Amino acid sequence: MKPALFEYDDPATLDAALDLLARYGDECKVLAGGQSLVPLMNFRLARPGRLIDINGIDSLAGIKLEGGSLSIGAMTRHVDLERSEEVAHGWPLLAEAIGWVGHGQIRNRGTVGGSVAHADPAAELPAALAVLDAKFHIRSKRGARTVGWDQFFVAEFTTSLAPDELLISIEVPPIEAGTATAFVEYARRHGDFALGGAAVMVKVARDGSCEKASIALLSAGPAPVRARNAEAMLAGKTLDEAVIGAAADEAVRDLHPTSDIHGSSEYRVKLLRTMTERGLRKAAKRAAGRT
Amino acid sequence: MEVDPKSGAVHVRRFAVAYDVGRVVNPMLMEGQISGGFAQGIGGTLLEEFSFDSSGQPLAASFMDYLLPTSEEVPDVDMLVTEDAPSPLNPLGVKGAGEGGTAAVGAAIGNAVSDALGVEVTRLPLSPQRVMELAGA
Repeated sequence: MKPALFEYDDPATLDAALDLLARYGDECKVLAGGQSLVPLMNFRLARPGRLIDINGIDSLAGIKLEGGSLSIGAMTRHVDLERSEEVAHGWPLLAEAIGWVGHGQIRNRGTVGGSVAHADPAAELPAALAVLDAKFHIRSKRGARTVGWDQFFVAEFTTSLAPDELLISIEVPPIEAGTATAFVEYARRHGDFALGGAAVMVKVARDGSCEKASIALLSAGPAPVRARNAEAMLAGKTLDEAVIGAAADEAVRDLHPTSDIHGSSEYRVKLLRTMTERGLRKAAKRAAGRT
Repeated sequence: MEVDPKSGAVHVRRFAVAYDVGRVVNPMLMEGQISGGFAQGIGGTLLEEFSFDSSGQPLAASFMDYLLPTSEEVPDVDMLVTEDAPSPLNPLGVKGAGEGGTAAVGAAIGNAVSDALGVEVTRLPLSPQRVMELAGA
């Protein structure tokens, strides 16, 4: 199908984009890479009256190191994150997660900001950013604000962005020494939305015990799910099979993912348990290989 | 092939089709028919399914939900094409070659999954949820 009629603006500056957002608010949608929005419009699942195309605003794209943190401009393409040496070196979890995003063509065009603002619960980047405790820098005519990932993702396809606000950049704090990460997921076909997946970060002490663990699950609920109880269980323990298995059991307790034709809620809980276990195992192995 | 009982994934590592077509007129077209047919068979065996809700509304109404196999899901197929038994029913001895690769895929993969898990497969497609249920995981 083709999209319903819409108006189109392509502001050249951030100020011009914020002016348009302030004027049209709810009527408009921001067009970034268009890899989710355009298919939704073609299916007429989305019918925005106006598109504000921010592809012409150069200042929104790019990866920068700022005082040890990683700053990812909202219009940075997936492929640029995937191929960045800084990312591969400092935040390999992001590079690993990006590899699971759609297909090469989608990653060439799709943007980091577009992916997180779309807030698909099956998306890879929101889960990875949840594990990394990322912050989101937001602007509007009313001013600037910064929120943590847990205040940014609200529900399925819903963020805390107000209609007049634009996501500017994502700030990822530095990863502590002795930390290893892993991203795992399972989809029915290569590049499909994951039926379940896990982003995992573990910090391992010299004696081999786990100092700190972070686990975020995708396709597990309306937003990325941090498995806080399982994380707490892992602290101070040696990451052996029994400990990892018990943490995986705990991580999926009380989860109620949505059933659809590709898998029931019960199936998805079992899959998420498997993904948590495999993610932890992989991260633990990587941590052990480093020491 | 490999079955992962903890995710329900089925990975087809190698597949072979042996087919007697009586006489091959165009070998390249023949191989195309077999490999294309095999891809169709993979789709029917692992992915493609017409689903409906309780009021009869189709739930897989676009190619976002009706999953066709892509190049990543279709492994290379080994082919043995023979001409040992020409058809007596026409002067050239040819037989139909269309969909030759399709028909046996469901049964072959289904039986391989049965062999891997020790339970009989009676229904296709082998979605990950069904495979996990069969595995009793």
